[in-house]
Order: sequence, then C-alpha cells, then structure tokens
Amino acid sequence: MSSGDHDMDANVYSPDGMVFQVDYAIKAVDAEGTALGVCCKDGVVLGVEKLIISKMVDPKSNTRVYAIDRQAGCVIGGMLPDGRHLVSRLRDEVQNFRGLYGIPCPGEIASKKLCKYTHFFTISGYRPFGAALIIASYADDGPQLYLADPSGQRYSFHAVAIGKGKTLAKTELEKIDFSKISCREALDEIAKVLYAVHDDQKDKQFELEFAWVTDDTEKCFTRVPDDIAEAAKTKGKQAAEGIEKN
Amino acid sequence: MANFMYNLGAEHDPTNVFRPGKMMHDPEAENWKPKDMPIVDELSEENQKEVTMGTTILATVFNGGVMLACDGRTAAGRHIANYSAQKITMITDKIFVLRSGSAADTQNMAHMVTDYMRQLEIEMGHVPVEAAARLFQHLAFYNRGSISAGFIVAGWDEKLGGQVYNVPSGGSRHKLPYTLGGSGSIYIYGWADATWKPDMTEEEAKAWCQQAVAHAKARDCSSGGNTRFCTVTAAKTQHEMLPWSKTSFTLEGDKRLTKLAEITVAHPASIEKVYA
Repeated sequence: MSSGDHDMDANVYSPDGMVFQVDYAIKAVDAEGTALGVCCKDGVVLGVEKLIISKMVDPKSNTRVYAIDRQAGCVIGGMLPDGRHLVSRLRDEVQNFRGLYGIPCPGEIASKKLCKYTHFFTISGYRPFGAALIIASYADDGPQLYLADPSGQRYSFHAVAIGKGKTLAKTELEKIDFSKISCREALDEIAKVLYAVHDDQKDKQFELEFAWVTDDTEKCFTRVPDDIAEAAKTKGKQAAEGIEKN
Repeated sequence: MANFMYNLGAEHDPTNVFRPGKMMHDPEAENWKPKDMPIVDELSEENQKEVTMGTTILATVFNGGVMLACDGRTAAGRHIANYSAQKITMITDKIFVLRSGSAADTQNMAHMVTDYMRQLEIEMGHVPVEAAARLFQHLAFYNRGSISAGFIVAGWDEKLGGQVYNVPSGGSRHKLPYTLGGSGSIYIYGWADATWKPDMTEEEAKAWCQQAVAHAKARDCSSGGNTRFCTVTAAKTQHEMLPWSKTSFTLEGDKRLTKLAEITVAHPASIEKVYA
C-alpha cells in the first residue's frame, strides 16, 4: 500500500483502491485528545480529554461537547473547527426534522443525515472533514450512540473511543458491560479511562469534559454538573494509577 | 354564439391531436336546433365552480382505537359530482385523514404527506400519528393564503394509541378526543357534545358516528349520499360503507314530523280540525 502519487486529492483512487485523503482525515481525528462515549441502561454518557495549548488559556474555553437537540448531543473528536461546522449542520438537520414532523429526530436518522453531508466532502473535491462526531441520543427509540467519521461511515456502538488514546481506551472499555450499569456508575469508569490514556509527558495541560442524557436528566442532554464531575474525576484519577499504559 | 365543447381528451375526437385549451368546433352545430330542447351554449357560471367538499367529517377515539366517519357528497356548485365519495384518505395503514374544502387542494396535499410518510416509515420503521398531523399542519399553514383545506388526521400508533388531530384551514393543530369538521358539522356540535362519552366500545363509537353524520346530512345541503366509516385499532384497519337508504335519520323520514304536514283548510271552523 503506497501513497505516493495518489494521495493529493480526495478525487483520486490509488491502485489498491484506497482514497488516501479520507484515511488521512481519519488520522487527523486520532491526532487529537481522546473522546469516548458509552451507552448505558438508563442513558448515554460522553467524555473527552480536552487538550489545552497553554496554561494561559481559560480551561472553560473551546468546549468539545455540544448539544444537538434537547435529547441529543455530541462530542467532537479531531479538528475542532471542522467539528463545529458539522455540529452546526447536524443541528439544522435535526431542527428541520422537528419542524416537519413535530417529533424528536431519532438518533439513527440524525446520524444518517450527518453522514450524507460528510460523505459529500469525500467525493466532491473538497477536503474531507478532519473531525468525527460521537453522537448521543435518547429519543423514543431509546439510548443510542453513534460514531460519524470523516469518510461518511456511520457506526452504532455500545461504547466507542477515538483520538490519541483510543487503543488503550477501547481495551479498557471492552472489559465493562455498560448496558448493565447506570450512567452515574459509567461516569466513574470513563473518568478512569480518560486519566489512564492521558499522556502526561506530551500534553501537560488538559481538562476533562463530561456530558450525558439520562432518565435522571429527564432525557435532556446536559453537561454533567460540576460537583458530580469533580467527584468522578477524583475517583477516576486514583483508579487510573492501577492501569498499565502501553 | 357558437356551440363549443371543452376538449376533454383525444378519445372524444380521434382525428384531432389533443391540444390543451383548443376548442373543438363543429361548424354545423350552429345550425342544428332540435325541436323542444333548450340550447345550452356553455356551462353556466354555477356549474363552473370548483369541486368542493361541503361535507360532514368526524373522528373519535374509542377504547382501543379511532373511528372515522364521513358523508359521501362532492358538489361542483349545485351539481352533485359524487354521492359516494371517499373522503377518508389513507396516509399509512394505521393513519388516515378526513378531507374537507377544495377537493383538488386536499387530494394533492394528502399525496404529498403520504410521500413524506412513506419515506419516514422506511427510515423509522413506524410512523407516529403526530408526525402526519404535524406535516398537514405545516402544509396548511405555509400555504394558508392560497388553499382552502380542512383536515382531521386520525390513526393509531404504539406510543400513544388512538389519536385524533383537527387541522383546520388556518394551519393550527388540535389534539382532541373527538372532533367534527366540514360544513355539516355546525349543525351537530351541540348534539355531539351532549352525547359523546369517553372509552366507548367500537360498536358504540360506530353508532355515535353514524347518528352524527345522519343528523348533519339531514340539515346540511352540502352533505349527503352514502356514509363511510373507517375503524383503526392495533389489530385491524376496517372500511365500511352505509348506503343512504340505511341512514338512521332523515327529516323526510322522521315519523314525528309527518303529522305537522297536514293539508291546510281555508277558513277552518275550529283549530283542532287542522292540527289534530
């Protein structure tokens, strides 16, 4: 598999049948902080390791977690500006659905609409988006978790991780059956995973962000309240010390 | 004044190519006057009126589903174009709409909504009645200046069971346990409010609807013909038609009233003789 002459444009196939620009876009997602999502029995929880470029930056700025609709939200993995554009598009799509049909857009349809948009950028000569969205939705079809990646591919997950530490994160997430635990318990687990995958040497400044949509929040997508988040972070930090890093 | 006939299609004159707007003209027709038959030169203004459905439509929730009912009359001015019209239109197999107002407007809007609902059914696997009602509302509101259309959307879905939504011509939407619509409905509002009960059985609901339509048809000249019903429950979707002859009430057939139609006597000696 050689890239060579066939990777300058999303319009071009390589002799092996690859479109390298799309693969590079996926690599751009994996160059940023780890983002993950888990689908529990009473809702969906999202978490992200938000990397901060310097101590002087307000840690609350450049949030990576966005609400899409009342009952749905997402976390951006990869290039933040690209991701913001996708969020804006997804919000439009979901609002349009609500305007036409009067009901919340089911997660499956919302992610399909986003992927249709993302896919267009892989065939039209524009560069593909360097961002993936992990979409959480808790509408009439129950808790749903989707990954929409830069190729326009869409996956429905029980638990998913993207970004720098995704390999280790996936290994840790696979050990737990999230469909049996509540969101509050899952929050502790994902805090632990995020601390475990964080590389202290390379990325000194970082902040963890959490958001969820659960029965307790009345199926409303919100940030996890500060006190609960802090408790989870403390617990997670301690638990992470027990995990071996690659 | 020349005799002419609107060109309805190639089948009426196989020698001519159909050209919309072209008048077919028989040069001999001007000279031909059958004896004793009045000449109708053109359609009178009355009969050029748009096809409307002055109508009676109603729907009610009962224990287990919804019952829809409508009369059968479609009129173009004073001409009754159809006496057994199907005003209950299918959107999906569990969602139906009753149409009143302009037949053209409502038929085309119903087609559009059906298309959208088919797409949604493929994506979602099922369609909530609320979504269909919302779509009718959307179309009715954004086109409110150019159309004349009143709808009642009724159906059954798993989430909320039987539901009835009234979408009148302004483009508002009202979720109600029962509702009436069309020109004939005004005559039966009082009766409907007095006799409706929640949690009726299917038979009670059908009897209630049948009586409602019958009383509306009795007083509204724009309603008449056969009566149609549609029952939608979790298990079934059932259509029925009640012929006009089996209507439960007409003014003409009301036995209580025949006594009043006595032949009046000039200069009666006593009142009793006349009104006995």
